[in-house]
Amino acid sequence: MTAFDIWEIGSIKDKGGWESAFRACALPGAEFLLWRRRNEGIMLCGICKEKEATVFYTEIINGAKKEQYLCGECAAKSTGLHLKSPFGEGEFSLGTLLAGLFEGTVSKEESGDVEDVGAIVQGGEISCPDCGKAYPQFLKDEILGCPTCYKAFGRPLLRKIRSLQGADRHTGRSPEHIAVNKEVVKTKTTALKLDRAARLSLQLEQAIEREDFGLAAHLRDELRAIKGQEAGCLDE
Amino acid sequence: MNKWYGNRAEEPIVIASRVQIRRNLEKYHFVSMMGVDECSAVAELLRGEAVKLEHEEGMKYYSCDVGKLSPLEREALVENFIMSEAMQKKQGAALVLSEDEGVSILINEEDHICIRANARGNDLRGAYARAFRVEKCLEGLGYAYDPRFGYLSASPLNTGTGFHADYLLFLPAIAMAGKIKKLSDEIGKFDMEIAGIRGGIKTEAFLYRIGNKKTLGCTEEEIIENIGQVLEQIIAKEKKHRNYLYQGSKAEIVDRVYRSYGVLRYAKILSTADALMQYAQLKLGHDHGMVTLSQEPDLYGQLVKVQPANIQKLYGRSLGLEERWQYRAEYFNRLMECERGIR
Repeated sequence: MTAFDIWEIGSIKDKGGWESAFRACALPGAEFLLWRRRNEGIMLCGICKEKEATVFYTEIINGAKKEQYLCGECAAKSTGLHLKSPFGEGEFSLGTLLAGLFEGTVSKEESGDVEDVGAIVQGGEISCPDCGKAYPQFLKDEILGCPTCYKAFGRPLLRKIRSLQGADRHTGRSPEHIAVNKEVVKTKTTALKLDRAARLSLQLEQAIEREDFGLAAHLRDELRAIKGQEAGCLDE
Repeated sequence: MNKWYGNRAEEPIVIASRVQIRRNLEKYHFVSMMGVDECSAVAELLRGEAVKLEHEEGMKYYSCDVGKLSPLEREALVENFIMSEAMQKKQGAALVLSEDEGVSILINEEDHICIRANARGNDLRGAYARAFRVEKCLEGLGYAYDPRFGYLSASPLNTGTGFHADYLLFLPAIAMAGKIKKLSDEIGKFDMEIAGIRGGIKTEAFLYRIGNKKTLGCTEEEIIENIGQVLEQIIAKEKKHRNYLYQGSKAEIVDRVYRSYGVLRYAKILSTADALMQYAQLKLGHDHGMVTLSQEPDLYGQLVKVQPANIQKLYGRSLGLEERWQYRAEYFNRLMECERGIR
């Protein structure tokens, strides 16, 4: 087991199912913990109790901290984070883990309509099946290769777009032949509210990245309040 | 035919309004991933639409392959804001241009299509309407569109509406007061940006563009409305600062205006920046009744006419730097000759 096989990851959750990853790195702390436990015997996964644990997982649910040692597969299946490559059944590898955590981790609600077009995942690198553009290349030049890239790079790209534009949903004009989706075209007030929600979730992510959990909790409550109001508006 | 900026007098603050719409064709890769053949096919396809545009707009439309233009011609098109700097060396780039130069379609720049429409003064809605008439005309070719991300663009910075709107503003008083940076910070809070006429914060003749930064999450109408609101604030600020200028240092300002007239009337060599700065000060004087010019000032017209490539086009031959400066001075000397009765 090398240092890079051991991961410390974590998430904050609330009862409403809101979730977000806050850290993914080969931490010496996690390594030390595993080494210590291993000396007492092989460290097995806390869920399947069969495979060796490679992930040190911290979860904060409504303020209560829970730590677990998991194998790669169980971490992907059971943590609620989409740790496995969002693009297929590939290995739980360095590249896909990073893609999944840093940029690809999106709650189910957010990722709702990102379509899976069978992106090519090779050696942890995502490529567009149509034009062949690799995701790391896009991160360098910030230019996409074709319309399919938007689907192939789905979740990581979604996050990138949100950070650049502060929004992730088109509300403007559409070609005449495309049926207007009622959910997309909303009244102006609702659109503005959504805008605020998008901004808040962006700030929330940044707070989590900085590990400023106090602010994160505050922003989360604010976000929840807006979403609650919105649901109220739609019910009317 | 008159150019789009030659059909009515120039306003004191809002010089022009411009709209830019980016689109890509769904059947092709984006420009960066296209081979030469594909680029030519897209250019051919779009240039073929010029006839349809002529019919729709009731004026002539010209088209050309950028690679086939002379370097001077290309440079002049960049100076006139018709084409972007990046397009000059882009393989397979083409251009469709309306007779009045008010609409240009940049083909195979960063995206397959970039429609630019201009209008004189504070008329963003006019430019918007014109740009979307052209956009509708080309819609039959099939735009790359996704219900979630909107019109798909090569850069995620343009995706969504693919819509950028901006005003070209003449802000001498705010600039003289050294408040451009502050203004930039203020409007940044509204997701807008201010830039010099050629990008960056440096500019010529106190001219600045303000426009939207983001293209996703708001409608085209909202973008226009937001810029309109910010514009009102900027106009109020500029007027306030102009008042300070006149009240605080009237003699100095009047002196500056007359000196500018003197330079333009008698100087023997003039650089672009110098000439435009003097002309801008003269315009300021005219707009506020310090001097009366017999011809309405046309800062935008002069801005494009006296740029290096355009001055060479005006005199019909290739000129070295020194000659260009001389010819530019000669041009302004002649222009000011008609203003002998300046008061």
